[in-house]
Amino acid sequence: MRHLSDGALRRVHDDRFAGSNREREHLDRCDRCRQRARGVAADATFAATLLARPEAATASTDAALARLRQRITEGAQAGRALTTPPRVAVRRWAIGAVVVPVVAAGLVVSANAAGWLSIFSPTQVAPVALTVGDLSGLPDLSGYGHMHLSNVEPREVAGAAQAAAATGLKALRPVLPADVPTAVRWEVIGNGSATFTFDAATADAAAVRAGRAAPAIPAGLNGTTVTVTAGPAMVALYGGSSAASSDPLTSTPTLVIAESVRPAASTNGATLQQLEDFLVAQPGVSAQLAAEIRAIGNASSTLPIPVIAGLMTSQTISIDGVQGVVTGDSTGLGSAVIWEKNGVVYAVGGLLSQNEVLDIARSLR
Amino acid sequence: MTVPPTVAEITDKAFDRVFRAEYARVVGIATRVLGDRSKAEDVAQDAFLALHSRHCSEQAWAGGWVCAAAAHAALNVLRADRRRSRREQLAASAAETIDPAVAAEQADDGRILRAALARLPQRAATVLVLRHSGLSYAAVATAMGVKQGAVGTMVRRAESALRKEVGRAASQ
Repeated sequence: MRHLSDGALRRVHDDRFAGSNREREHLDRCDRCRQRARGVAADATFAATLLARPEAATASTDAALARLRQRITEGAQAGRALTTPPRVAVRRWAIGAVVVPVVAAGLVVSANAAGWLSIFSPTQVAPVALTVGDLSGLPDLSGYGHMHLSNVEPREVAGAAQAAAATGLKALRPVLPADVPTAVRWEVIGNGSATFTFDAATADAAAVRAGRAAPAIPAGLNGTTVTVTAGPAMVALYGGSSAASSDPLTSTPTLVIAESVRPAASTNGATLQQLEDFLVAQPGVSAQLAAEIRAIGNASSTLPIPVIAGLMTSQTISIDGVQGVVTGDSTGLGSAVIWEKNGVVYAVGGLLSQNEVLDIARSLR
Repeated sequence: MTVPPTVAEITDKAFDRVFRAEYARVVGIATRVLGDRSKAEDVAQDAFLALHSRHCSEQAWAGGWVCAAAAHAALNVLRADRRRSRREQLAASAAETIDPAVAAEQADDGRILRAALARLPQRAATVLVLRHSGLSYAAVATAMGVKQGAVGTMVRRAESALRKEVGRAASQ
């Protein structure tokens, strides 16, 4: 058989029963592998000696947890930390995803025969800086009217050809770094839409339940419906097992490549100026956030990418001849790059460095 | 009638469970990188705060995630510190708990280790710290987002690179 790999020799150093019987038998009689194993063991022991630290008495875990809880509470009061439970946080993200583009859309770009005004049809992306306080302070739209989300469950398909056929998009293939698994799963998502209808009666009832004053919904806004549509989309997941896996540990992909027909928003009543004036004036939308949104420029054609100050980094880059945004987790754990070209929004992200996701994004063919 | 727990209560319990299970290990990871107990505890606080803010702690990968986040954050602190100054980082608290002769020897080792870690590629330094902090091959694979079969090779290459870096530093 072939000589053992460096990785196999390293595993055997940790556990002499690691590997197959054939590998162990080979190691027993192959002088070359035994010599390599001694080198592996020497380096491993050297590293273990350097990295072994005497465990000084640790601070009490209880005290550390109490300190963290205190920070979370103080952060919530100061608007510095996101302390809402995940379900609420996700809902606020979803609301932010609706509010930010709607507020960002400063111009009415066209009107169709049915009277729906197309207010948002992005052709480029740009970062919008949010603080965690902004995020947790965004107004909860359920207190202003009715929201309806269409069911957009992802569906796994057999391969790239099926994903392309289901979405009408081209299934792009990347050049992968050596440590990204090549095994790929394809999922498709159909057309999705979210509608929100402003309703003064709902706002009054929500205010009574919350024991505070009702937000004043201008007469021109009452009854207006905003519709946001997106998709169809396809997602390629590299690494991780299928979603049906019983072990969530192994279902986390290393790399995700997504393509979607660009989102669009339209209204059937109030003007964009009314919507923008109303939403920007709500408590929780900071002056800084409003200024960031207004600074986008051609807002009706720009898809804002929310970037949370302190938790994420971002920069604009050039990719495939257009402007994109590369964002990263401030710990360096994960990164993503997002851009739009010819009516399609592309995103490449994963547990990789910003340079790695950029290289992968630029290799797509 | 028993009132069922809210989502927030379930999530808080899961977070506390992960915190209690992983806190000592996360502090250990950051201490290996920084050689400073106090800084390591700050890094651990930030890593758990990030977990609380961004992820549901009920996920089985939450423990691996917070270990990797702590390793990355600690390496970033190390590199920033080295850029700013060359000051010694050995924790006074650690020095108090061990024999002075051993402390002197380990202070030297700590300087060498930190210099080498700061020069290694981030992924190599991270895999070294995670593996030598006791994470299994499977846990390292999850934390690093790679296949388990690739971990042995990554550890081997990182250990070889560490020895070369230390040798290079010693010869200068």
